[in-house]
Amino acid sequence: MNLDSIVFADYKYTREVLELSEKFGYEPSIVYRYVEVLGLEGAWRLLEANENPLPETIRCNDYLIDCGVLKARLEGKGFRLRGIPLAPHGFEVLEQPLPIGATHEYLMGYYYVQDPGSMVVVYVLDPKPGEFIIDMAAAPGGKATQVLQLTRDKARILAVDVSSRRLKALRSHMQRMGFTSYLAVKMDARLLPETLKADRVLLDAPSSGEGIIRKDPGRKLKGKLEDLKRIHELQVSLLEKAYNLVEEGGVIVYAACSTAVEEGEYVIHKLLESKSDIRVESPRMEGLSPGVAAYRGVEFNWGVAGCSRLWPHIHGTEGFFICKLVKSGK
Amino acid sequence: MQARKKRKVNPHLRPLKPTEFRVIEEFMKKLGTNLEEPPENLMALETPKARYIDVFSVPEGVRELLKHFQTHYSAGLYLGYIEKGRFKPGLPLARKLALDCNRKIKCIKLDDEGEKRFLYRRAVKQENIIEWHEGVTVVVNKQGEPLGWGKGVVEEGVRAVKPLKDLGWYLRRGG
Repeated sequence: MNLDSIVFADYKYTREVLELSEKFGYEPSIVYRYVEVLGLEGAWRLLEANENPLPETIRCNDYLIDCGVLKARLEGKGFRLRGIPLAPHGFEVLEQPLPIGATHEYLMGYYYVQDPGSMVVVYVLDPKPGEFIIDMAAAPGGKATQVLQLTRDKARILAVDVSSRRLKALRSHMQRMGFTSYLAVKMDARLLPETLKADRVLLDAPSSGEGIIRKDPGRKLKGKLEDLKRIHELQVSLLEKAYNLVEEGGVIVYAACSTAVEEGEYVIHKLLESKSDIRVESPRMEGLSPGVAAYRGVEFNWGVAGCSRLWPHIHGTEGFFICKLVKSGK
Repeated sequence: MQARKKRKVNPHLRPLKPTEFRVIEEFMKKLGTNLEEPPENLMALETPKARYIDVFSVPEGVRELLKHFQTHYSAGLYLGYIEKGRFKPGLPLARKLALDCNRKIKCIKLDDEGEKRFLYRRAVKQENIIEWHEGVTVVVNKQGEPLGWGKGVVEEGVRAVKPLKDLGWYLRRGG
């Protein structure tokens, strides 16, 4: 059965959805999706949480410096930092006497300015030294540098991106942070040769960005259904490619910086329904919310609930969908 | 006769030529050290129409990946670039060599004010220099952390350091 006709059917807005959209200044389709997943009260809480700008956060690069030493150095310069429970190397910047991206410590590669949800994605990936890892949408390099940090520059990473401008930033971050075990290539990841077989594939898919409204309120007025369908189709094709690139027994982490089910659970559902040798593995991390099991009357493959979500009103982060998949090859 | 269509050449990594290798070797010799990277790791990123080549040290495991692609963007440890037969060292190489300061290499050491000036790409005068050496070398701060490449000069009888490439480049370049 073609579920697209249900999931992407035109929305019928209730009075409450229209009122909330007007009150918070949203394109109604986004609020419709919030209400569909969280109910009216949950949607209200999410909309309120989105009104608080996302605090700046950094990831300490313990490949070059002890994180306690970095904290002390930055605090000695007037910064005030607080640890992030979900991210062992993360600090929230509570006070900054100068832009956090302009300190000598930044130039020395001692940290990366990165949102907490992005950090969590790589903890879920859980890369190991010696592994071959493909990052299918790698630039500007936040997650790729984190992979090399966690593996002490001992994994091999293939960093792929379509944008030269963003790859320039990736190259710069790799150099600044002291990492060398990578190859960066400019190409559409859907064209990667399938002779490559990776131990782990990271796909932080291009998305609507609905998850970062706290950072970019302009996104409140985007998110139309036809745009979402186009993005969903791209995400499905990229995830299928990730499946073809991963070794038997290997891991795929699919992530999208979005709260939309169409960009998260529904993408995973399609893969699980079309391949018999892939399963969802719940991450060994506490505190993440489960995936959405049903949406617009469609019950997803049971595995989808094992995926994870970060919500602004629950976790204080950006909205993120993260799912770890294991290919059994049997 | 129909003219043959020229094949488009994309930026790609290739092994370093012996002449190019010698240029880097010379530079290292002047610094008082040698390049510890295995020669087979050294690769040039050749970009069509560019007047220079970027030089990388690409570890074996990463090198194996190159054959899968006709074009490469960057890889491994960036050493610097060669232009008109001269080697211009890069910041990652300064970081690597800073570990050898006062052992193999005579580095320039700056105090806090000197560090600040240097990272703003400004010349540093004698009063902010803790250790000085003539010529091109690695510049570090008082804790020994690398700040980039500078040139020790004497101007009107006063020692100074001119920045050649400093970490502030990461911000000025905007990436």
